[in-house]
Amino acid sequence: MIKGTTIDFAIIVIYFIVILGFGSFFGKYVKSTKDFFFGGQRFSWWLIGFSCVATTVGSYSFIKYSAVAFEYGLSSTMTYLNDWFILPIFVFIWLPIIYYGRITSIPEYFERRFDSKTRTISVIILLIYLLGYIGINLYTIGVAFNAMLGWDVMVTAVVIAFVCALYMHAGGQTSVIMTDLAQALMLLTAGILIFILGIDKIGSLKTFWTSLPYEFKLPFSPFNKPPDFNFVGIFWQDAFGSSMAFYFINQGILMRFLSVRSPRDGRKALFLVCLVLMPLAAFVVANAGWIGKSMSIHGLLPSDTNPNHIFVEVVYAITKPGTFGFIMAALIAALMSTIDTLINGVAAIGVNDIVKNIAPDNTDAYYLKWARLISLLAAIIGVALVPLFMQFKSIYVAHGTFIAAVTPPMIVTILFGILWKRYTTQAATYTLIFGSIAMLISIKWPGILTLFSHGVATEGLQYLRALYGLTICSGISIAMTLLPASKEIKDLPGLVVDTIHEGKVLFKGGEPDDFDEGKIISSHIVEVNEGVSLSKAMMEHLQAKPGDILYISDERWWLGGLKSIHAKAGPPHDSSDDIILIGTDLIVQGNLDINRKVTAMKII
Amino acid sequence: MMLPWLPFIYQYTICSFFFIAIIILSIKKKAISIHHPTDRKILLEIIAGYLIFIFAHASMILIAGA
Repeated sequence: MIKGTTIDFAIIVIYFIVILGFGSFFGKYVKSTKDFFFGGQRFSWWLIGFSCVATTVGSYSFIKYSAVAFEYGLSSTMTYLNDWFILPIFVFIWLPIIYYGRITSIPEYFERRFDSKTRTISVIILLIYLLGYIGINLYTIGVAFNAMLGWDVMVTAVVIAFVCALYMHAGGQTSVIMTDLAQALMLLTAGILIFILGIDKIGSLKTFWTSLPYEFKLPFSPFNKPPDFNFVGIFWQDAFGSSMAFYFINQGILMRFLSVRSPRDGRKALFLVCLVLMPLAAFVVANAGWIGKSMSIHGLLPSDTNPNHIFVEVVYAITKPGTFGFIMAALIAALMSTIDTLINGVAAIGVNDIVKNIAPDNTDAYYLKWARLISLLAAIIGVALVPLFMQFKSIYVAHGTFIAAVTPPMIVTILFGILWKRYTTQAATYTLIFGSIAMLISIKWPGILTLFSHGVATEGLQYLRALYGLTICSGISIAMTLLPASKEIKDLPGLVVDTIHEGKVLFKGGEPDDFDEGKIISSHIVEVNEGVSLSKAMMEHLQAKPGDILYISDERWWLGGLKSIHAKAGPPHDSSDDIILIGTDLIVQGNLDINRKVTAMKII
Repeated sequence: MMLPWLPFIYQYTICSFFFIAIIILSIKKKAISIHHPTDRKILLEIIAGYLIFIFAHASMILIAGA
């Protein structure tokens, strides 16, 4: 089933060259490990929102969700539309903890909240999770391209990993965010294009809609059947398993939210993701399946088409040479935008949790060199894991087994850690160790999952592994914490829900002033020796006082904060009301252009 | 006709419990303050977003049967 013409191949090659050049270009903005891992904490909410969606949509998404959509209809969207309930805990608790606590990695949170032993355990679990995730994504794209273009699985994995690692090596988080924006736009465009071309092929939107059966139009699949796509299993695996893992233990996503210019922008980014981009992504990744169903009803495709091939079959049936290549390139974009985040996450854990422990007190340049080296190493290990995932019956079994086995102990430990001040180090350690053992037991003896079946047939029990894991791990956490001997008194400033205010005080180095957000002002720059100073009128406009942290950015909004800086406001100056005095080092650090106006806003 | 609503009720019962419990905890532990205008605005936005999803899912079930 090899598809594709010379034009299609040419488009894919051009895509590789453009994305490599585009990603590498941002290497010039990386001057420190803070830039490499967190993009200098300067980006706007819309940039972070788009890049998050590009990360969510992996290479397997188009193929997997189109297959599900072809078989079960609009219920294929349910996995993308159940994240909103997580928002209060993320926005009110987790985001302030990581942002104001300047948490550089998930394991670092474990050490500060618990101890170094839990940090070590979490490093091991997270590296398995992230490297395995890279391997699965590379394997998926290899399988897809083997079927569609005849490329060898390993050759595809090596080429894509190589391109990704190259631009990551150069630009770190800045390259990830910028290329992910481009890739998000590309994959969203490709998905919408498939729908438009598909409707054109079928005849009209009305013909498409009326051809679909009633069950096909429902937003949820039946409660506990069929075994491979029932509501209750997907709900627990996805909403409480994958989504929680995505927002709370994915190092790449943590770093993405630490790259925003303020927690306010982090919140806006999350709103954009959950309310707009995820529903759009749900439509984009699945609509080839809905179109395929309608086409098969109208005799435009064989009704016995293999669901796993429906994405390619539909795309090939509705596109012309060139458009097919563009959609294939979008598939690569979906992959690359996922694994670049994961590679950056591995590099952050490698440097912050391993290298800095082994070789402390070195220069930032030394750690930056290691960050780049670990990025390359992560890509190589990801490729090396591809043959391992080839052993599984299918991509989905490999993916589901892997994620469900790794994530519940970490999710439960983090949630209890941030929500319950009394939660002890001993309880966290036991949850991580015995929770992981419990997950392995459920893989070896899946019959144990019957206790949580909700009436789901035996073949579908693996989807309830997340519920099993969350229940067991929560039980261990509660039991160990409530043991009379396990009481511990610890000062946890900014690390639990009770002490978020203390975290803000530590972040600012004084009492936080976030009661009134103030307004944004626009002004010219005047270079001075050091510090930042605004006129008295400007400070009043911003509702800021000396000592408050300000965000100063190039006035061109579409740069998304690429040229910007955070700085403490100094005492007001007596010069003109339309200039901001900024120190030379801050101008260089923020890549600010002295001839352009800047905007300023108060952060805290 | 009850069957399509069962997943809807199940999802929003469990999610609402989690959603409301976290909001109450955040207020009780002073992670947010309902007297703080910014916090109040965020809280209302989050609740509105949640209601939009409930409404959207309910509408999809009703439209499927229309």
